[in-house]
Amino acid sequence: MTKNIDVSQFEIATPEYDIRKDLFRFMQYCQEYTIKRSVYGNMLSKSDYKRICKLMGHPELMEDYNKDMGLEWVDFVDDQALGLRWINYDTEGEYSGYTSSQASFRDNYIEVNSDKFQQFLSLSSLEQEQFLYRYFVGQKREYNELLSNSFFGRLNSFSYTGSATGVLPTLNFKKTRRILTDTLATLESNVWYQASDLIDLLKEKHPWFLIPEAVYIEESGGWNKPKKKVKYDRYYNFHEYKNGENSHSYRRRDGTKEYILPEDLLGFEKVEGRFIERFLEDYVFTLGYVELAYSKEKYTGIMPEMGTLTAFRLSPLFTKMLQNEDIDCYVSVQPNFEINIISPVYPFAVLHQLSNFTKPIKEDKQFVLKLDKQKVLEYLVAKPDFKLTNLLKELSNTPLPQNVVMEIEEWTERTNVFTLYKNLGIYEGLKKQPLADFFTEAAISRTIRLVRQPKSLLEKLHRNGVIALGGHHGEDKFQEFPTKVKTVFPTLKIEESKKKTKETVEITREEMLVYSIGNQDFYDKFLLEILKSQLPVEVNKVKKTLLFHKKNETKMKALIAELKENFQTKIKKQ
Amino acid sequence: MNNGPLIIQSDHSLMLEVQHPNYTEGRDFLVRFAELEKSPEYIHTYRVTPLSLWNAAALDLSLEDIMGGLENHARYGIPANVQTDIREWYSTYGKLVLEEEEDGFLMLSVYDDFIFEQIKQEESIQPFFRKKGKNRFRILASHRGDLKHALIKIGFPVKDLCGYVQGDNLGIELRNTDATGAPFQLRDYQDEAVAAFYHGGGKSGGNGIVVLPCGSGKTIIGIGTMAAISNHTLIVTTNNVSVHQWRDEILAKTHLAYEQVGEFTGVSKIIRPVTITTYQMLTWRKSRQDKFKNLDLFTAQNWGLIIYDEVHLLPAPVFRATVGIQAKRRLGLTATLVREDGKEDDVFALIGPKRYDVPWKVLENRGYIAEAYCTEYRLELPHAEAMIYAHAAKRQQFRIAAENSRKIELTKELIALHSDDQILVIGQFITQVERVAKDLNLPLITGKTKNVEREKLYNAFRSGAVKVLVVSKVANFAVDLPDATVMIQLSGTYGSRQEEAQRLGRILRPKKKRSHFYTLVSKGTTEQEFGLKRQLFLVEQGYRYRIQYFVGGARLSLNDG
Repeated sequence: MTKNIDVSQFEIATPEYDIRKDLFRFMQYCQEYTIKRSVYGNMLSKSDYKRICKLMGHPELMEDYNKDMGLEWVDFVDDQALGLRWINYDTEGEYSGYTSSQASFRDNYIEVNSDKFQQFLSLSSLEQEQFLYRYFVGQKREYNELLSNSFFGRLNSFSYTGSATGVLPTLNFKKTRRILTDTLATLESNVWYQASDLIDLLKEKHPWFLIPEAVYIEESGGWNKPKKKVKYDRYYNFHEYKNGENSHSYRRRDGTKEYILPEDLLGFEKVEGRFIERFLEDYVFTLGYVELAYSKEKYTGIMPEMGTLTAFRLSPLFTKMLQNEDIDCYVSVQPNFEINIISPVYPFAVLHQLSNFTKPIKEDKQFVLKLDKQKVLEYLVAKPDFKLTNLLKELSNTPLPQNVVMEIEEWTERTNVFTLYKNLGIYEGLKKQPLADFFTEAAISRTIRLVRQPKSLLEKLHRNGVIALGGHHGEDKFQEFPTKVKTVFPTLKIEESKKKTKETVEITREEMLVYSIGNQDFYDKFLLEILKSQLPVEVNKVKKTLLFHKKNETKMKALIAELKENFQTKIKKQ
Repeated sequence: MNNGPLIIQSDHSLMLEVQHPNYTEGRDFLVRFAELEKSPEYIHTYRVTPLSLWNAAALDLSLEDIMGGLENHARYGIPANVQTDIREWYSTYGKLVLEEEEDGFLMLSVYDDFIFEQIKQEESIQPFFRKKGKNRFRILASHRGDLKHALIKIGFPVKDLCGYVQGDNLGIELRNTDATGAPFQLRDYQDEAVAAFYHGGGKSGGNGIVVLPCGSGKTIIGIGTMAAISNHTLIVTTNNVSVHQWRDEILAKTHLAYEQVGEFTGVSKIIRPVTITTYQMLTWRKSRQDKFKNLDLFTAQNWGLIIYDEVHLLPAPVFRATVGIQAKRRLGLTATLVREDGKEDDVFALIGPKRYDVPWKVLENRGYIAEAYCTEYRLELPHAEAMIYAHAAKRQQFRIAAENSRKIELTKELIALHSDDQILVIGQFITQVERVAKDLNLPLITGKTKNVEREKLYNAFRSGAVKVLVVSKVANFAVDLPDATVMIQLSGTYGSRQEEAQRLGRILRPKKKRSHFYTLVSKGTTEQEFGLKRQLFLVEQGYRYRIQYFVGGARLSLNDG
């Protein structure tokens, strides 16, 4: 095979998303959230899609969200997690409607199969990679490479109307893929090869890798007769079609079909060759084991496309994985609190161990995480005995920087500052109170303790002649104790002192006048006049005085004037 | 997988493993076309940007060398998108070439039809074009800087081959022995820096930046460049003390006479064949409505060279003035190309590309800058101050924590620990430095200290007559105190990275002893949170950093890494 071909004129393709990373993120999400799938369609909810996309680092995917179709990539990852049995949920459903032919999925929650996932995490990097490869390449599929497009694939497929029948259903794709994998294992990584060279190589070395030399198909021998084996033409029912036709159209006119005949000298290229091209852009590509180079020119030839995938390059990881070479994972904790993970494979296990304490900074060929104080504190609250520095020492290939150790220790100290006690009371009193010792949970100060069963303690104190006050603090306010009680809590004294605080008082000045009358007769007659005129006057008959507002003085004087026929009066100021 | 030390990420960052046997080779390769982002202990991060590639292209580093080197050093190959971007970015440089025409006009030639069409449509560029030809634009010579500036803003660097006007001649010759009689010659890297800038006097050299760590002798490179060009020279620096230091160095290292070197400052405004001024002086104006009259200094003489000291601090008005003097040779000196305002591309367009850069670690290993150890001491606030802190408004808390009175006790102990060293005690708050100076009976320099007094104290410190000097933030920049080996940082401007770098730079001048940089921080306060930002900056620069607790009474020990 020709090596190092020039690919500068081609379009180089690498997978748009990292299936390993997104699987990991998806599992993280499933572990963290309760996920209920939709009753109709068995899909994730929009908010789940949104959060998952964010967690995967592809928030832009939500632009393609369709409430009836979901999101292709997230659904693909979801399918793989289910296929790997890391999660479970009902996929059958039940028919429960009268008008709908679709199954319903009531209360269909995603359950995480922790054992399976943990089992995977405990594998070595090499074993994890081999596990994933075996799963992806070996899984049963409704449609194989010849009949369906792979997730990232660009090449279209053979028609399932025709090509899907005949020879195709008899083929053993698992074996075929194994032969292809073994052939790829003989190639060098990081070297661009021509795809047509690989097809030639297989034609020469494994001409029957896809379709056996002789194809026999069991057919019914007629009514009440045993089945019989019938020899089929090698490419029976495989056909090409004109460019521009829909590959799966039922209405294709016969004139547009080009059947591939067994004697066709290019039959291998047309069928097996197309299979090889599609194998390369299927799971080997999705797993990042191969980079592909496509022709930039518009394809005008007969369909399905052929020869537009011009070159491929295997990743070193693929070769390592196939050759059972150890895959080292290098972890280094840096003094800037970053944790660098250099690993040719996705470091599932390390990331899983560190996910509780770090935030991802970069996820690429090298992973960069940053220790996050908040996350560490939250974890330590739940597991106060956990020693993060021990875990980091265990994982790191380099010594832990002193400043990082010191900072983590300080964070740990902070979790010890607050302890939450529940269902306890506060005892406040003498430094020494043996009666309270039995109930004491913790001493807060010389005179304050946290005590269990506060009511029992109070009763015990009373029984023993200790005058103690019981109180119950409200949710939003402390209880106030009587004025002279010695306590750190508020007392009524504080309330009293509040009264002493200056209040704003508005004083209205009014001038009142008092007429003091020495003559009883005049006093009586004058009073009679006042009563008639209904002037407001305060009367003191004993002292013979009249108290009234200054503003009424004129009226009072007028009443006096009415009595001048019998009395001579003079108002004297005192 | 070739097991190289370099991991190339698809976001254009390049991670270099320090403990790898091929680390040095990898670093020397990367420094030519990538910017070092951070260099903590085990993994260093570089980044390839259009600017870093244009800098490399300006220095004639070929694309093949870059791609070949990356292939050789990369552990997992080069991601396809990075390959494409590097090729595209690199190839942009040299597609636009500016050359001199007759009659005071310049010609911008565009060697790419697509770029030509884009430029033709770009509104911001139109005013500069006098005449358009096939892939050529004619422009006025006076628009040289504006055009380059406008083009870089839309992502197109210009290869400027218009050359420079000849400044007035001035014979500048370097001495073999300096003023004190000590032998003097440029160090090899200083020689290389001068040569990389000057380019033999050709049109492709003569403007650009030299990036070297504090203490590596950037002033000497400036003087070396002055000698190479031997023209009237204007030097712009950060403050008056620095002006004097430039003057003293020039007089000590060249045969120039005292009368040939002038200072254009608030004190004396003397323009001489070599004139030194400050950014502040150039941007001074009576009121906000007035013009920056002192900017005329750029054209007051027929300068053949303008030196911008600490070019990363270049203020906007000076940028604007620099647009108009593109025909003069321009040298920028700095320890970091990172500007807090992100205007690195302005520096590239108006001063020039990065011409020379040496990693500080290389210079440290070769003994050209001091080995520095950073220690952060955390100490509790005394109970009474802690109570004030707890009740204070958030904005006041930082200051209360920064002025922790126990810092005086610790400072005293640190001074005792370094009884044989020259020590600078630096603080942000005047009241704090005054109190430290008073309590410990130490001389003090603040903004209020008169220049004469400052010089006197600095000289006494240099001579060893004064062993401990308390300074306010006036000593952040361009203070040459060669013998300072210890700095005690009482407080700083929140989490300022630039300040941290500048302060550390004060003790990086080469010396036989290790340097120690102490930062005093109040435990559990906002000061500690800001301190963390400074800590991260230093460790990302690659300095050894330890955290200690000061409990009082316990004997302090040196951080020996």
